[in-house]
Amino acid sequence: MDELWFQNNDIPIDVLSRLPTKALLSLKCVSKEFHSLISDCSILPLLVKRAEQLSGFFFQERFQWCDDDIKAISYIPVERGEADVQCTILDFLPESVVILASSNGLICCRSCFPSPQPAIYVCNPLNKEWVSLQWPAPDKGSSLALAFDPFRDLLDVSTNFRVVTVCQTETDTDADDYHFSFDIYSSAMGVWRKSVEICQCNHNLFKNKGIFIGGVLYWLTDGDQILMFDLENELALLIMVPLPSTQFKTIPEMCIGESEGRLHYVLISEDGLQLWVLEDHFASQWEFRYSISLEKLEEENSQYFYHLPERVASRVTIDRAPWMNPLAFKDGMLFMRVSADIYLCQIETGKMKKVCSLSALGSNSYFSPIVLPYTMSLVPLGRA
Amino acid sequence: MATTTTETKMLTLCTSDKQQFQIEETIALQAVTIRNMVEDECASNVIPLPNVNSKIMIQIIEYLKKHVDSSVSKEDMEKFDSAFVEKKLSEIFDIILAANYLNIKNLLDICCQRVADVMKNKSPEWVRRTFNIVNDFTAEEEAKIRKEHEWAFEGVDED
Repeated sequence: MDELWFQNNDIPIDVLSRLPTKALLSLKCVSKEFHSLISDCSILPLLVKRAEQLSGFFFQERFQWCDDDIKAISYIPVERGEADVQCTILDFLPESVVILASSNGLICCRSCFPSPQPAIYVCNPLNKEWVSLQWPAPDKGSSLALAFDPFRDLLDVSTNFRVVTVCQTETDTDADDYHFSFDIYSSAMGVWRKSVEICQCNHNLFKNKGIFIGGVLYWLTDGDQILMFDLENELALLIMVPLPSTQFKTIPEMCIGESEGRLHYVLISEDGLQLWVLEDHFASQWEFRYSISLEKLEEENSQYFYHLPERVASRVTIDRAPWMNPLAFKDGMLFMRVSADIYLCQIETGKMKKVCSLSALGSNSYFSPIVLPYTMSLVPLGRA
Repeated sequence: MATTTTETKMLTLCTSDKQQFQIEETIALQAVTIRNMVEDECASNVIPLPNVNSKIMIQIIEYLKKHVDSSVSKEDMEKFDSAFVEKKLSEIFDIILAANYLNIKNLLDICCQRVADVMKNKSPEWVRRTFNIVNDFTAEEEAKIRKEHEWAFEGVDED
């Protein structure tokens, strides 16, 4: 049996490259041989180019009225489903950060404000590697998205990614018209470039910002539209959501996310929980995927919920916080707040798992927190 | 219709324990190593396979016989494969080594996948025991490595 592992590395690498990243990490301490095999540059390209399962969600609070950033970042692994409230995961970075986007194992974040010299970081929390980008015009409110495709952007020598900032500006000083513009940073070039493409839109970006799927970025807006930016063709577009909010008696809540390589739209209203998949972005065409009524959801999860339909339906004005708020969606898993607790919902079965109370994630966790799905990867970024 | 009496060409494989196996050439040629030997004509009637013993050879022939049959549906083939790898790990290891030597790619694939599936939720201790690996880390070094990714770890199976 020894010879299997030590005669040549091809077979061990073949076996190890089939393990999920999480399993590999725990096997690093088997022996020095194992450790070096798992860190070996011949295995990394194999590891990075696999479809990896959703690992967990990062969660960061935001103040509702105060301009400062909250430094604490929590991580919730999906399997264990317990909140692991700790602020040390990103401690390898030179300063405290606000997380903004995640893409195939990489996290994009910015300095917490105030900062003497605000920077943008792209990092991999697993191998603690990171790079910082210069930030020509630091703006706390700007939305940053990260585009990293391990199937296309991983070269032999370095990992290529792109960061896109979206800026909303007034088109005309007289009219109340706004448009989005896009600045693209390419790690291969090391420079920022302004795209000529703009997109007329008077809505604000909210909740899920910069979901990266197959070369395209998506941002949810607060106006029944999804902003889309195709990085290859530098084409921006507004996609209509499958159902307008006005069709409901009460105010629905929604979120977007990636699953099976496609954009999904989750909607919670008095009609229950519904899921759509984007079929064609030019035609704003959605395919209906799944729906469960609130009654059924309560029945399936009777240990958690009571009077769910009435409570969801009680939100008749926008200034009332939703009873159920979907916060992030990835690989069929919905991360949501119901009342004052956080749940993970396997959407195709409607089975929920209570993760923790909101207060465990901090005293300001109620008001529009940042929630990012995270998938482990050992993708290298070059040691800082 | 005339019955074709094409003579099936046979090959003789000789394993490390000097056992001889007569099999149809089409079956044997799925192994790239054997195919190369036949094509290079460096093999006489008897092909020596000094790295494979007869016990493993029997299983490999069973696999090759199934896979040469083009009438088997994809679904049935998958069923066969998943049943085929339901063996003790030590046996799988032997098959992996033989499949690697004989260069039978899909057999190597399903066996490596089987090992990976078994290893997936196992502790480092289990892996050391199963693969006879000596832990050459000091307790401090090991603790340091474990600590490094503590936040990412979830439960592993009980051994």
